[in-house]
Amino acid sequence: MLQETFISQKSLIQNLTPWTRTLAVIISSTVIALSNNLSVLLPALGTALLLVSVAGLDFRQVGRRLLVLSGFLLMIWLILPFTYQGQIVWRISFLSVSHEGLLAATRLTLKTCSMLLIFLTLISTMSTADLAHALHSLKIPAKLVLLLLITYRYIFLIEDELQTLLRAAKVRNFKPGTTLHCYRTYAYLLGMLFVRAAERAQRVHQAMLCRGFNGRFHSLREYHNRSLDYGFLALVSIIAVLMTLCEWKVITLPTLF
Amino acid sequence: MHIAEGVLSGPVLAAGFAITVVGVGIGLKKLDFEHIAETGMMAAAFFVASLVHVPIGPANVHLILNGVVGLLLGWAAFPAIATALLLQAVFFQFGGFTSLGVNTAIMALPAVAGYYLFAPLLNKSPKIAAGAAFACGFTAVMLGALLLGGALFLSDENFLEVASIAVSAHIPVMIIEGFITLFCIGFLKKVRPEMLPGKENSP
Repeated sequence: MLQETFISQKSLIQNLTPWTRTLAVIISSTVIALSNNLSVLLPALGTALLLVSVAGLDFRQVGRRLLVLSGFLLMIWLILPFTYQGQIVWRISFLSVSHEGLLAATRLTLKTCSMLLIFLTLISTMSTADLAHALHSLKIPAKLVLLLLITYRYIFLIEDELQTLLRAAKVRNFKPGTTLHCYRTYAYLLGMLFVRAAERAQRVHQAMLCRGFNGRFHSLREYHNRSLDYGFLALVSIIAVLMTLCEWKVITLPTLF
Repeated sequence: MHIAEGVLSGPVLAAGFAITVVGVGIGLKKLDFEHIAETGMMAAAFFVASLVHVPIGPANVHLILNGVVGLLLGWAAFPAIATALLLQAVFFQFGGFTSLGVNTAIMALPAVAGYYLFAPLLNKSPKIAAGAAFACGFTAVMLGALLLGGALFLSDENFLEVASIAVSAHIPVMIIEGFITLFCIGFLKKVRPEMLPGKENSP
């Protein structure tokens, strides 16, 4: 089942408008993406964790989302330290671990984790409809926003149809395996999913015409930025500027490495 | 097939965004309001199809289907894939804002390439059409994997081994996607030929 796990938490974060949150994520993730200095990335992860606790998210659920990264990070840690060119700090028979490799793997881990946490706390806690309207006020083309809204509206229904089709296959004793028959079954099933999606699209389009659709979805909820929003954005901007200055070594924090 | 946030370098992320902005721009220009509901629904189906895991030996892989989406939507695959990827980021935290450009380019460029290379062949004799459908599914994943590997390698030359493992891990997926696309297009040809390119005007 598709679920918006983090949407219902009541917290300080929910008092911020979607516009503020979207802008804050764009600013902070851009800065983190372009930073490579550990004395910037460690505080970034700290700030992200602080944000998670302010948002009052269930740590177990958050941890489960971090597990999404575990496969990729495991691969990074198994490969990078041994293949990265640089000063060798440790030798195990024919394998040699380089200082730069360890550093690169640490950097990647810090970056991906902090960016995931920030996105999770600020974006995944709002309804996608709100996100779409926020993107619209950030000058994303109206047609693309409309597409996002329609897609969001129907993923749940289409997922339901997928489950129906899978159940129908199961009832007919379909067992997945590495056979051509299995792939054919899945392909027909997905083909059916596309056919049903197209038929539904036709009905939706007709319904939209009936209601005099003019290319714009209106949001029933109106958001107005308050001083809290401007304060939060100011804070995010100050942190971003500090991180950038630190990255450029204009100012230096006590370095750990 | 996506790259998490915080992996790629600034220039690669910027290049990804540039490609995606152009692609989405062309896609949106070609997309009129007649077809916006259809494209949104296809993006939803594409999102949902990527939840399907098919077995391969003891493991399983999830489907990508960018070849099918390319054949069905043409340039509109760009906005549809961008939308689906944004929703994946919101729902599952697969990627985020900064990697959205690169990830869209990785999946949508091969989709559009598949459309131009193989869509004209679908109306030929059944054997050629079947071959074209298989090739479309296969190359869409192959090109995507190569773009993914290229994005990693261009970010940092020391990612070469990581990139080559990521690309070779997609080889079985290419074969599976080839077969899935072959059967799926064959199915659509029988059931709903007007969904396929070049058949829009026939009954």
